[in-house]
Amino acid sequence: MSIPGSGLLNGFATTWRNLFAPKVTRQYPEVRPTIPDRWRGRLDLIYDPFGEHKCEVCFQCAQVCPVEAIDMSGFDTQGNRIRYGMPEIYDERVDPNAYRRAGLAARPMRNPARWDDEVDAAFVRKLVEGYDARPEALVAIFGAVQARYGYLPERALRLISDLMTIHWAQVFGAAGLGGFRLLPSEGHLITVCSCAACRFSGGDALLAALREDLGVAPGESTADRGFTLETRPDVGAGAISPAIRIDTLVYGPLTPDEARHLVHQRREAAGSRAMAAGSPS
Amino acid sequence: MAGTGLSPQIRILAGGEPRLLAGIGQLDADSLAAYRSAGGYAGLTRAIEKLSPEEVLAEIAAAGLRGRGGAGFPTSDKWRVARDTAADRKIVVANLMAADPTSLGDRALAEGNPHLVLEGLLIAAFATGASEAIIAVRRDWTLAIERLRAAIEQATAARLAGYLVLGTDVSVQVTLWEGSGALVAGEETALLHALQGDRGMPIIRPPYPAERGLWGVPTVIQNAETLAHVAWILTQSADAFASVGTERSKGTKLVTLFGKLAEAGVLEVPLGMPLGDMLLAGGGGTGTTKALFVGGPGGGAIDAGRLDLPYDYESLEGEGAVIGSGSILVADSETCMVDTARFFLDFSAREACGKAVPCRIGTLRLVETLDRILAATPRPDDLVALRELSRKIVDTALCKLEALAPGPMLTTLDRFGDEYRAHAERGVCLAGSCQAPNLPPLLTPLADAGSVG
Amino acid sequence: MDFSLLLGIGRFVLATTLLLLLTVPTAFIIIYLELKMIALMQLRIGPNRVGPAGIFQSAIHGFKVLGKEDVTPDQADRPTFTLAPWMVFMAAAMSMLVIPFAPGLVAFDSEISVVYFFAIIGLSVVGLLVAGWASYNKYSLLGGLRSAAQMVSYEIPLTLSIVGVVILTGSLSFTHIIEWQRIHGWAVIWQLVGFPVFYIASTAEINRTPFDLVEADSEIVAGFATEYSGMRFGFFFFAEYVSLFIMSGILVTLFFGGWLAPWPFPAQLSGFAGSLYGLFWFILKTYIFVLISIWARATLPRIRVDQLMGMAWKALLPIALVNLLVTAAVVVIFKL
Repeated sequence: MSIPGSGLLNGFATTWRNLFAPKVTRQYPEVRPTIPDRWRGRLDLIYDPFGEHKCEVCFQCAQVCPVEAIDMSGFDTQGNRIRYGMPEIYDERVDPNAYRRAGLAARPMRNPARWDDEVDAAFVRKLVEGYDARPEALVAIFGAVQARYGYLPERALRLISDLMTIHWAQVFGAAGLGGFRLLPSEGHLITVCSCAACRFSGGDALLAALREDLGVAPGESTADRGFTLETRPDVGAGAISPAIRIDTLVYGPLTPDEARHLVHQRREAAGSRAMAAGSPS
Repeated sequence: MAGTGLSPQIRILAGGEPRLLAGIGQLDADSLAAYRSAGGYAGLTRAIEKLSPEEVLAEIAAAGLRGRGGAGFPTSDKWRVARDTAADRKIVVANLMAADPTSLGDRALAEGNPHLVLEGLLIAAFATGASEAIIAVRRDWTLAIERLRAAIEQATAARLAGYLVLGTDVSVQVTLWEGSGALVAGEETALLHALQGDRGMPIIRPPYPAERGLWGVPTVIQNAETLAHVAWILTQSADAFASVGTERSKGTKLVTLFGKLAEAGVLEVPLGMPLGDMLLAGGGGTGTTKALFVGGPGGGAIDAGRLDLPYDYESLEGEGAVIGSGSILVADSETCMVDTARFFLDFSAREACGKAVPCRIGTLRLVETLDRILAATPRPDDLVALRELSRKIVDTALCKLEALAPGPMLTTLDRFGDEYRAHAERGVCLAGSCQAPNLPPLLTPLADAGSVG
Repeated sequence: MDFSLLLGIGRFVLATTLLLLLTVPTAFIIIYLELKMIALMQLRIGPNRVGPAGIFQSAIHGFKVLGKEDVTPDQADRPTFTLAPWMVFMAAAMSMLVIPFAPGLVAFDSEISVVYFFAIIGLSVVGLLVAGWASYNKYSLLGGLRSAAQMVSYEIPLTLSIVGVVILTGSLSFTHIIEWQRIHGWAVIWQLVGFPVFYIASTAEINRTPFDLVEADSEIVAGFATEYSGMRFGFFFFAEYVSLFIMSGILVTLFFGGWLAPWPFPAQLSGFAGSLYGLFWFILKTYIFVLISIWARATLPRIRVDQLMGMAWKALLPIALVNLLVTAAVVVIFKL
């Protein structure tokens, strides 16, 4: 049985002892904290020795942020894809651990080649040197990398960040806002223009026709990896609305039938090439 | 492409008052000699050989030229600020980022008459005392880039740019810079950041770029069309420039018409021209014209009954629209206003750079609200919420693009409110174009949208 | 004109002025002690920049409060809004008149100083209520009412606990009570139950932890003082620290022998030396209790308002009554 008031006395005893205990306040600026050498003081997602993000995609940071400053996407434990914010800004994250917790078969990261993608380091280096590693040339460098690979591989961006001594967040941020692709497209890239001019002259009918024809939604690739469909607002407009772009060629104005025809042409060409090469299509 | 060709997207309409567009399509844009024989670089020569920078500034002021990038800021005032700021290095930038993909006027100039823009840029550099000039152009305008690059080389070789221009001690080094095409990249301060290699996000002003811009030095960022006008003014005269236009909006403007009309294309119009006349220049509307969305994603809807409205800065602002990028969407009776408003807001939301919270999240919420309205499952106070949230976005806007983003939605809500109600309460599209949703309609009417300012 | 009357008036005026002036350094010293001691108990260092070991910190706080903008709400009742801090402060200041600092150093040595003291202390309740009402603010009103309820409830056990001392010593005068204690030993030994009741009740009376929910920001903003800013706000909290000193002083007077030394020698110093010696002991003992109060603030959590009221009426009051009964019985039986 405890004596009534003993709790109070305990409390008093504690504070009394604390009165004489050494104080923990550090007297800045006379005493400065020791900062480890490579501490940069900013948030960075780090990688484990296997090259995967250590971030577990638990979404706690994004959920608790009062100003919704964090965009992220991934799979929760139920296997549902959850997206906070636009995935184009912060890359899609598919964490094998999240799959495991959801009881799903472990799938590799959506684009497993991304981190392991071999990038021609010499090419990037020469490119950067060609521009004297000036930060103003960042967009031009991105353009050249995308021209070569069809997208901006993460390894290339990291290399650029190192070579030009630009903060990774700045590099990634500039890439994200620039209309560059951060994920590779498979096969022919079909871009349906979504600017106002195209949209209001039949662009949505065009998109609907192509969706139906290819059987994919914008942003996805067909199962045979022959085509990737996407929409962007800066393809055509003006006198040739509604327009689409296939790889680098712009076609317009098109009716849905004409658009389908163009796609079929490409398909046949690919098929005949495959047959000529003797491999099963 | 042959020197006279333009990208297929660009069609120049006949009519209006072609000053800048004069000759585009016939002029050999690859040739300096062709430009000169058409009277080119007379303005620059006159400025450098006969006038002082102050006099050039005065002439631009007398002409009453206002920036054609959208804000309509008096050009001579901006140059005045840069001129008066003491610095040993000053920069002028030609803004060819044309962030609104539907606006093709700048592209027409860049492809069709690159020397005109270059001349204007050089005159601007001379007047403000800048020794560096940058032409910032979208990287997907490959033809324009080619031609501009060639123009710079030719001009430098002919001692019209570079060191010792025209034998005087004026020197203006011109470089071409390729930027990414995002809506925000057309914003002045965002462009500054992009030029420095950063993510192109705006910053609060003051300090204005003309005081402190690129790398801390006074930077005058001018829209390409404005610079073309500058060259035109110095070649012709300030009075000639001011001979068309209204009291406070002088000169001509390149507009891009598209949508439900016979001929979409680029037209140069005198400011003050009634909207209805512009529509006629485009061959007239197909179907029954219902409204004109003037100014691109940050503009506003002018309904068909007001087609007598003159196209100038003041009149449009009075009606909730803006000159903006100069693009005009023609909507007919089969265009759903709610759907159009959602389209423009969706565009703004996708293009949001993410810096300002009300823009990044607010535009998204507005889109979600409109989606609910279109699906006929609105919350009871959705119409009121649209206005309140828009007001918050406008009041706290970091950049002008954010402040104008709710424009199309607000103007259509004002003028075509019955379409919103029909969608929300009954799931019916008055324009007959949206697919009817299979949901039971709302029985109680929504809170009055017009009661909240 | 009677010369001694004039002298008396002059002396009184001097004493009053001195006392009023002394409230300022007293409050500053107590504030500094509080800041420093609580910090040390929380393993911090506390103020250490302003002056050696930060001793000027509280003075600077005072100047800062003077410099703040004094905002009066639009619809507040201006005259009463302005008067409220004065009332609270005056209650404290006027009650200082009867405190026996040292033999011969009492501003107002009367036969009924106990009654006077507790009557005047009650005036501060009026000040709080006026503050709460005049602010034209729901929170202020509620805070003021709660404060008033707290103070009024605790006044009863407070007064009852000292009635025990009064009965024991047979006098209502502080100086006589101290005399009695010189002969019979400190009253705390005689009033083992009365002392804790008095201590708790007085802590509640002056809104000190653990009874300070009226000034807890998370409970009710600043309670009655929500609408106050600048020097008026400063006054309320100034008054609180002065009251702390006063209450500790009274506690020392009533239970711990006032100006008496803990030991009986030197037997009887008189005159100036006697006053000085007595003053020293008085101040020392008072500050010991001030420090104990600060110690309590660093240690104890706040109690809820329902626990507060419950404690006053259901615990302290019966105990005080019983104490009174027993004391009275003992006095009567043993003809003390």
